[in-house]
Amino acid sequence: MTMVWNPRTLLVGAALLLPGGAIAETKSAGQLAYETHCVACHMVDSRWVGPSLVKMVETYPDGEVEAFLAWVKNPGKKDPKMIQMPAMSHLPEDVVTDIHNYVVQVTEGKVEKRGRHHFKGFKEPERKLPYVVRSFMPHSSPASILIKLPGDLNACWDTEACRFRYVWSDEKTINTSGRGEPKFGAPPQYRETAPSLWSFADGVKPQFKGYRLIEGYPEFDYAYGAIQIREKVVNGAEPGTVLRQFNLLGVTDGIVMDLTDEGVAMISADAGRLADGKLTLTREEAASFTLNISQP
Amino acid sequence: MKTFLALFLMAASIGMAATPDWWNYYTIEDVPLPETVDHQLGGVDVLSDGRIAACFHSGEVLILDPATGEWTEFARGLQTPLGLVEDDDGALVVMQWAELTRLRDTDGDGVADHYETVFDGFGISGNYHEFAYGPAKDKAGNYYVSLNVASNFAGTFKTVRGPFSQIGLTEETMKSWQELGDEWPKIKAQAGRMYSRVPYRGCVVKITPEGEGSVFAYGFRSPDGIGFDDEGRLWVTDNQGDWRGTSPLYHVEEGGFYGHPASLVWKPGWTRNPLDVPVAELDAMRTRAAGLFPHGELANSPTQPIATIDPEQFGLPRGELIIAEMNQPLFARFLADDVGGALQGTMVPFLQGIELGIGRHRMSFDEAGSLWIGKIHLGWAGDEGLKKVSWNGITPFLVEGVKLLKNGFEISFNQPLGKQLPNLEVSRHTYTYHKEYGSPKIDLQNVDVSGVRVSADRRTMTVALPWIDRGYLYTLTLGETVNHAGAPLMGDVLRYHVVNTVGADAASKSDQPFENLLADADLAAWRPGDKAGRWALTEGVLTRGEIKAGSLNTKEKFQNFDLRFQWKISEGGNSGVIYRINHGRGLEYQLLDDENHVRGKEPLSSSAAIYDIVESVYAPLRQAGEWNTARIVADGNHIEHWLNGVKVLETEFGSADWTERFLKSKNAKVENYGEGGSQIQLQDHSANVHFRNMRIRKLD
Repeated sequence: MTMVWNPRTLLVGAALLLPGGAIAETKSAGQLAYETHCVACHMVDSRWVGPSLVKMVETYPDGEVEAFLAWVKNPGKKDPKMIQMPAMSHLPEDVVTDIHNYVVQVTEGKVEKRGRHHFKGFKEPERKLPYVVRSFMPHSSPASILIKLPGDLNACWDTEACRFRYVWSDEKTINTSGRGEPKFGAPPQYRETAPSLWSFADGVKPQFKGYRLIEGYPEFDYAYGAIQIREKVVNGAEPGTVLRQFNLLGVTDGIVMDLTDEGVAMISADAGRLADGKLTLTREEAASFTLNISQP
Repeated sequence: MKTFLALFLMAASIGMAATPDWWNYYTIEDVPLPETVDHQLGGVDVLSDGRIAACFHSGEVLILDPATGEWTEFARGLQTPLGLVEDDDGALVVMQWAELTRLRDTDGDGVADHYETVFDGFGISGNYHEFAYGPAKDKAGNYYVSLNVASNFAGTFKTVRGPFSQIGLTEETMKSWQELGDEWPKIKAQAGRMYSRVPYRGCVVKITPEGEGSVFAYGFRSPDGIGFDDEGRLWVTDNQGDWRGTSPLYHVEEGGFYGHPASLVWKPGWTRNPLDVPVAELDAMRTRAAGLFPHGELANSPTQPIATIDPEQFGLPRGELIIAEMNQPLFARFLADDVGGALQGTMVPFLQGIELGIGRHRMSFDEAGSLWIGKIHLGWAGDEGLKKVSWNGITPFLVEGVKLLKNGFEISFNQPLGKQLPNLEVSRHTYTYHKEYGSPKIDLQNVDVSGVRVSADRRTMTVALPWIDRGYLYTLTLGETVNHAGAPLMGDVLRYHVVNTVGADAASKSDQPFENLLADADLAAWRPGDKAGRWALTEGVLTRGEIKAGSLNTKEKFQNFDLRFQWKISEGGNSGVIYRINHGRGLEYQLLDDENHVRGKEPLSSSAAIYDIVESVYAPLRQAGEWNTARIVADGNHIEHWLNGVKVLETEFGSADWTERFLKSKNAKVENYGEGGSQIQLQDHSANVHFRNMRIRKLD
């Protein structure tokens, strides 16, 4: 059985041993206020959501109640790795003063324990590839999918625009730390840049219907009105190549795909005519074709 | 053996006069989890075949065979999954950051191979706080999900999903918050502490099995907990913060607004910045919480509500909710009480103790009646792991129900009370509804108990109080309470949120028939001198003429009555229904276009008030030109005003409170004001006012 050494629970635990009714008398006003307003984030002697009371008292020792009051009313951020504390300006000054008294008293003689809290922390295991995972990605909508292919290639597929975005192999390419938008550290090998991929799109928003995993590889399913598209992303036979296998239903005329791209990789098609970054396909060719992205 | 041991422990604990211990009635065990997943559970659901499905923060759905203790992977690669349910055909439906996804195993190998998008028609701004919770499933198979608003500790991504609401700080500012550096903290308050710039953040969204989504309700902040009870009622919990003085539990109905204003931008036709709307107006619009969790005492971040099961399986009565919580080592039971057509009720602590730990997020009952509990922290206060709580067969002594009375509470117990009466203490307080984060307890006062009565079977205790204040949370502490056999009361602090009070309501007991005051085209029920073509009745609708019509009075006098009618008024209009008139002045049910009339800013002169004497507590008033339903009950000294199905005012004529208010009013010098019966008057205050369905019943 796991015990959670939260000061709140410890205090209740201790109080439980007392005869009933004695709980309130054993706690100071400051302790009660701390348990109401602070304990969710601040533990006595270890880091939690916010710093411990032991750490806090280093900045706001006995006598520094004015600075403590100012901080509580309008907190900033001392540790960039922690979340910012919400302002507690609704608390009357005497309550905050009581809390400060309690912080000073309860931390006397205590040192901060090492480690953030009792969780072991989770390390991403080695994933069996291909691995398809939803993620925030740069230069794509926040509803994107990362495809980690066997070998060292990765691809980004955007479920909002319903399109393949780019391919990269360098880990440094994607920076997802912090709360900001993910960024490219280095340009990807291949990235499609045309505002609209399909000639029939005509401003119509595609409908994303999900994906199937076939031997672990994703086959995306989406539609533009009556046109149904399946797009499977797999490794090519040659190392360093990515294939996109398309099946279109409901195409009534020839179509053009605008495959304008940037990056060092090359794209080729097993059907139609590819010129100036545009792939022209007849109605019959559009039913089933494959694009091949290969390294130089 | 287990039962014997527990009995022994219970007896021992009573003998030692120790504080009651829940673990005399329940056991808790840790369920081992594989090391390959993050031990934070976003969701847990007992499947129809008895296996346990859980989704993890690292993106997997795993299924446990409880017989072997073996976990197998069903799905992977999900983004922050925060809940899952099973479809009738065995598919699992998971709410993740970007969509509601149906996971199907189409080839029967036990692993999902089809990740079908059920619904992704809501926005994602990239803000770190836009969690997506649910789904809860109704009996028709519809899913309900709740969408967290964004936090102003960050702005949005430059690339967002969904249209960007143009209400508030400019889109460019919101998207360039990182480039703004130290400027952002200075201006972020203008974004709102928690904000909604992409659809339907702060809303509950209903999604058909086929994937058609529509906004079901507005006004949420961090609505982590969403679930149905046995009667098909939807319950949603939310977290203390801005516009949340303390954490609430809501009974959610279609079209409702539940208090956090950010999501109002998604209401059709809404154009104003929610931060610019006067608090009084938001207060009038919002539905009150059915239950409240005092912050730091009962909950800081409540999570899932789950309906209780057969009492033979888990030891609790049916028809209750159990609500989990992230920060405190206890659960709450919620006992609903229907008052005046609205659900409100009592929170009672359940399963309190450090053994429980914190971080309890999702729950599901298995066939044997054990409660599976998944834990999470997401970097805030919380915990990890999967726990299983089972009842050991000994029924704890419990409060089974709390019913609000006109002047007190009726508390029912599942076992007879012992000879010694509880050491009863009653207090009450409220919270401020405002944009600031949380609220201290406001107006906290001890309430003197007028009397306590215990029923002959000792299963009911009536607590009489001098009066009940609407809008307050009453805390009743039943210290040192034991049953007939000396077992302690488990959960002895009752917290009842009074949204509606109980009237004498002689009105509903009367068997006199209603008289239709608008039955005759020639307005036979009304004084002939008044009408002369100036008020017109057409197809049941009474309309004040365009010219100065003068007020219209009934022929008959009424003193004690129940009057029901519908009314609408022109933009900026003012009118009233006046009764118990002396010297030309009486009690006036104010009719006003609150939004556009200057008097609508003052509670004492807003719609449904007794003009200048008693304000209505909150008035879900419709816009000018739309019909409102009203009701006036005048029964002796007891006066009630109702508006659109809600009792918005209740007062006792002649009470100390009444007298104080009356002496400050414009009528203070009117002799015998409000005494005796009189004709009922429809006021001509120069506005185009309309009435229909006007019926009256005498209560004499």
